[in-house]
Amino acid sequence: MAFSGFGDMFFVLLQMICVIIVVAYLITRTKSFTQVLDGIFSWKGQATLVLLFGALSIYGTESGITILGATANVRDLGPMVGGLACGPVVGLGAGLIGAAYRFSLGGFTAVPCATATILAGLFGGLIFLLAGRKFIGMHGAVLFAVCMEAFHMGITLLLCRPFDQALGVVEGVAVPMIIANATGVFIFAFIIGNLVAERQTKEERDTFLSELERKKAELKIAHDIQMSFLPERLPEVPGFELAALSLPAKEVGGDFYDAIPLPGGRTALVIADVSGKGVPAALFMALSRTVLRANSLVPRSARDAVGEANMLIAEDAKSGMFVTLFYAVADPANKTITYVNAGHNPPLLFRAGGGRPTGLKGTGIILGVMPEAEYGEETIHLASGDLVLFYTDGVTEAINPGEEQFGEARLIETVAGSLDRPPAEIVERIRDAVMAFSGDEPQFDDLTLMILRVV
Amino acid sequence: MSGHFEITEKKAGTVDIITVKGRLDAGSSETAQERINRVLDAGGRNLLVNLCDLDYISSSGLRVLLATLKRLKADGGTFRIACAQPQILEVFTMAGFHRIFSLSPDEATALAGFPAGP
Repeated sequence: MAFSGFGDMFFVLLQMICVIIVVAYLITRTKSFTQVLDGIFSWKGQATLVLLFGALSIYGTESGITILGATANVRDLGPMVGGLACGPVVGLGAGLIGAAYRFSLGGFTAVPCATATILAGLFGGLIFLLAGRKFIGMHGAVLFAVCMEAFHMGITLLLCRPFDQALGVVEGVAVPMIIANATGVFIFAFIIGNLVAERQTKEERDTFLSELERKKAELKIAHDIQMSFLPERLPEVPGFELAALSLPAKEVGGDFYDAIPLPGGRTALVIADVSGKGVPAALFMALSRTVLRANSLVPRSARDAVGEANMLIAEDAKSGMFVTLFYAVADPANKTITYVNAGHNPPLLFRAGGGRPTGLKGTGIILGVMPEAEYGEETIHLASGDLVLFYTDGVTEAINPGEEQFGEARLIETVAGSLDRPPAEIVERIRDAVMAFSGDEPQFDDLTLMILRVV
Repeated sequence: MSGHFEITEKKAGTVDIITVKGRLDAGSSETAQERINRVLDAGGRNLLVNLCDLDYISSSGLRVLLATLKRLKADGGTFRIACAQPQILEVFTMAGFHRIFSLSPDEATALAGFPAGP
């Protein structure tokens, strides 16, 4: 295309820019290009890129503006970008294609133009290597384009004879060529920069999401383990009424309760709170429960059952895991319960006659801390209508939005007002009272309750 | 969320002193554990935890103290707790912790209980 003024020239340049934008967008979205961004240099991918950038170089030649037999063009753009973004193989390959095409057209500047195009790809590729096998970024790329085109003009002056004619051509095309190529490289650099940022954001988001998924799955597993180790149904306890409830917190704490039928019509009742949360706590809960069950089935005293269980648990307890536990054997024949309290918050005994409840205080250290620990046991006589409330600290330590704790006083008040109700109903009333108290405050810890009443 | 919680560190000779204030519960115990572990990772073998201004401790808090004790015992270090308030002592007693931890009424007494430095 011959040009007759700056207006026409800029119109042609604008057209060129539009094409470059589209081509840049398409090339950077190819699999071959994104592979290179990931540092994967397959022969097939590189060959594809050579062809794409080579084709861009040919387009650069074809779209040029002819002045005195030489053309202001963006032939060097494809090889430059190919080299800068994809390394010397792609740069040089594209350069050779562009150069071969240019050379075949012949003309006064064929040799310097073809040489410059090859060198554009090669230098771009070397810069890629110097930058640590990555794209150097927008500023460097544009600066390189300016220098490369100035160099292109330089070798034209050096190689073309007569010099006067060469000078005439260079004077005509130098400024438009530098501007056009720099603009082209700018467009590519901009789109590549965008692509890199976009991919990074996506990667960060993906990592975050998969981390979130993993955590959710872990919580679900912990929850499932915990639930599968709670009794589905409480056994019938002759002479007693029994009800229990466990509400695991979102980040499971590892509470459990159990009721184990023993020989002679007796029943072992257990409430426990494992320290820690998540899968480790849930597994520790499963271990503690199983060990305790196995030990309570061997005929022996309550304190021996707990002592033996503690020894086994302590041997397994790593990283400070422990479990607070209240273990009570209810004996309907003698109307007694015999209990061991291993560091658990004291269950409350409400006498049928009324009055303040008494706490069934500790008789030994929490389980899992001292393998040789010894435990004491206490026996209390019960009368008809007496009620024992077992609970974990998730109940009394539930907080409201004002950061007040539910506390023992509210718990006692709730139970004292419902003593004539069936245990299952009292359990529900306590749960409702705690829920109402906490309001929107998330449940931090498992909340577990068990009520035993003498018929 | 959990209420007020603050943890600070200082050094007295060879003893690292960590002061825990406010509530040591499920919400804050992880932070506390990390801070203590950092001190131990840095080679601290004499650790004093000051609980003068600790208002509340939950079972997660007990776990932090227990894990610290276990780790220091395994490494041949010394761990002392100073200045636990009555409500904290009650929890310690309930859990049986008073039998396994060295408890001192104040920081100075606790410091005197550490082996002399090099």
